[in-house]
Amino acid sequence: MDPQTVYTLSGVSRRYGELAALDNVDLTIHMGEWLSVVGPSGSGKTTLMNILGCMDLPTSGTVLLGQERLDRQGERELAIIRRQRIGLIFQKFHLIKHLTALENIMVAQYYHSIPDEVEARAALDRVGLGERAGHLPRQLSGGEQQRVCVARALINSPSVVLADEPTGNLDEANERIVLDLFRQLHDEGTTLIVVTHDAAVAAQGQRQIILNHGRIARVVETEDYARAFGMSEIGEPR
Amino acid sequence: MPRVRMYLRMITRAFARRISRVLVASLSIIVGATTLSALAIITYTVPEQIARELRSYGANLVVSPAGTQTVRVEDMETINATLAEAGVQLVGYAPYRQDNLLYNQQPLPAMATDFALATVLRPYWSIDGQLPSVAGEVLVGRDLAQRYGFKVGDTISVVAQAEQGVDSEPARLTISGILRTGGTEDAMVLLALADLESLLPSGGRLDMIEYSLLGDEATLESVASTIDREDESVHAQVVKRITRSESGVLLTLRALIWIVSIVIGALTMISVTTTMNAVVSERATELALKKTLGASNGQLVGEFIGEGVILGLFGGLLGAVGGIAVAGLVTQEVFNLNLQASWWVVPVTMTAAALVSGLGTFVTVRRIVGINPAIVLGGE
Ligand SMILES: Nc1ncnc2c1ncn2[C@@H]1O[C@H](COP(=O)(O)OP(=O)(O)OP(=O)(O)O)[C@@H](O)[C@H]1O
Ligand SMILES: [Mg+2]
Repeated sequence: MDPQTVYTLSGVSRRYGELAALDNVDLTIHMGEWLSVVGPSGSGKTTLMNILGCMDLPTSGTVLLGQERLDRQGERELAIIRRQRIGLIFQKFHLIKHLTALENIMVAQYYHSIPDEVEARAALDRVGLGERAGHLPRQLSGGEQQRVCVARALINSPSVVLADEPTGNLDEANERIVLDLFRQLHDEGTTLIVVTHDAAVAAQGQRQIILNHGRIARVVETEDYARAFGMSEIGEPR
Repeated sequence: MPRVRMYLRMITRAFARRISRVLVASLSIIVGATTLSALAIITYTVPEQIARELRSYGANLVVSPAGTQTVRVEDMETINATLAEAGVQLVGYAPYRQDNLLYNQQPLPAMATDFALATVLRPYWSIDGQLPSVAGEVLVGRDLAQRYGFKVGDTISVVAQAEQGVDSEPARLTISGILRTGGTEDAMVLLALADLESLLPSGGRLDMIEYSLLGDEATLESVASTIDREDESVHAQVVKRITRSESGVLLTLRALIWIVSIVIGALTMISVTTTMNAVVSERATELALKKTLGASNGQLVGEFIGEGVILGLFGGLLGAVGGIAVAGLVTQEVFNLNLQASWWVVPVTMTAAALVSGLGTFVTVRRIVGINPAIVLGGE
C-alpha cells in the first residue's frame, strides 16, 4: 500500500513580527485522512488552516499540495486552487445574509463552474434541509446554518474539506448531525482536517495533532490510522 | 442555470433583500437625480413655453371696464374710431368676455371672443383640430379636455346659470378643436361672443379688449389717456412687451443652470463613492467569503458595479419622478405656467444616474482587492 499525500509541510513558519504563530512545522497529510487539530487558544490552529486553505502563505518553509508548491503561487492561482479543490467550513458559518440556503450553495457552484439548482437541492437534502431551501440564513437555527455551510463546502466535490471549529457553536444534536456528515465524507474518500477544542470531536479523527505555541507538541495516532497509512512518526509515510 | 442568470440573481437579491440599506445608499442619487431632472425640465421646457408666451404678448394696450362700469361691444367701435383719429396704426385687436358655464353641475370657465381677431393677437395658440367656424362650435383647453376626456368632434351639453338661479335650457356645443397654450386658456372653453350671448344674454358686455398698436411707449401712453378721456366707462392701459433682450436673460439662465448641474453631478458622484466604500466595509465578510469560494477580484468588482447600476436606475427613477413633481411646482409658483409633462427626463435621468453610480462604484476596486479573507473571516 502506498498512500498518496495531499499536503506536505516542511519547516513551515508564519510570523507576525516577533510572534511565530506557526514555528517550523513539519507535517504530512494523507489523501483520505481525517485529521484533528487541537491545542490551546492562540496555538496557531487557525493560522495552519489558513495556510492549508490557500488563504495565507508561510513566511518561511514550503507547502506542497499534491506536487504543487503553494508558497510559490500568486493570489489568482491560489483563488483557482481554492475554488477547485478545497471546501471550507467556519465556526461562524458565514452565509450570505440576503441569499436563501439554496442560493448560498449555488454561489459556490457559480464561482466554481456553473450553477446547477438540482444538484444544489440534492446537497441540501443530504444535510437534511431539503425543506428549507427557500429560507434566508436568519430564518435558520445555528445548527441548520452550519449544515448549509457543510452542504456548500461539499457541493463542488472538493478533495479536501477544512473545518475550523465547525461544532463550536452547535448543540449536541446538531454536532452529531455534522459529525455524521463528516463520517460520510470520510467514507467517500474526502480528506478532512478539523480544528476543534472538543476532545470528543477530536477523537473522531484518525489522527490528532496537538499544537502549542505554533509547534506540533504531540501526535496521537489511532489503530485505524496505522492500518490505513502505516505506522509513522511525523514525516514521510513509508 | 446559466452563469449570467446567477449573476443577475445575486445582484438583484442583494438589492431587493437589503432594501432599507439600499434606500439609504441611494438617497444621494435620488436627491441628485431629483435636482438635476427638475433643473433640466425647467431649463428646457420653461423657456420654450415662455418664448411662446412672449409671442403671445402681441397686445400692447389693454382696455378694461373702468371701476364698476361696463364695456360693451359698441365701445369697441368708439375706441377704434379714436385710434384712427389719433393716427396710430392698428395691427390687430380682439374682444373678450369671461363667464362660467355649468357642465355636469361643474363650473366650466368660458371665454368668448372673435376667433378671427383673437388668433391674430395670439398666434401661439396651437390647436388640434379646427377653429370654430359655425355657431355652436367651441375650442376646449387642453387641461379641460384631459380632465373630462373631451375629444375633437365630441358634443357636450352645457347650461348657463341665470341671475335668479334658474338654469338656462341646455345648449349643445361641438368641440372643433383642443387648444394648447401653456397659459390660462388651457383650463377654459372658448366660444364665439354670439354663442355666449345667446346662452347667457348680457347686452353685449365685454371684459377686455386687447390691442396691438404700432408706436413707441410715449405714443401708446398718449393714446391710452385719449381713450380714457373719450369714453368714461373704459380704462386703457399700456402693457409692456417682453423684449428680445429679456429672452436673452433666459439663455444666460440656462448656462447658469448647466454649471449648477455639473456641481450637483460632482457632489452626487462624491457621495456615491463614499457610500459605496461604506457598503464594501459593511459587506466585507460576504466579500471575503466569496473569495474563499474562489471568486476573483474582477468578479467581485463586476458584481458591485452591477449593483451600482441597479442602484442608479432605481435612484434615477425615483429622482426623475421627484424632479417632474418639483419642476411642476416651481414652474407653477414662479413662472405661473402649467408645465407640460416631460416624460423624456425619466430615461435620461435613469441612464445618467446608472452611469454616475456605476462609475462611482469603481472606487471600491482597491478596497475589494485589499480584503484578505484570512484576516476578515478569522478576526473575531
Ligand atoms: N493577523 C494577525 N496579526 C498578528 N497576529 C496574529 C494574526 N493572526 C493571528 N495572530 C496571532 O497568531 C497566534 C496564533 O493565532 P491563531 O488564530 O492561529 O490561534 P488559534 O489556535 O486559532 O486560537 P483560537 O483557538 O483562539 O482560535 C495568536 O497569538 C494570534 O494572536
Ligand atoms: Mg482559531
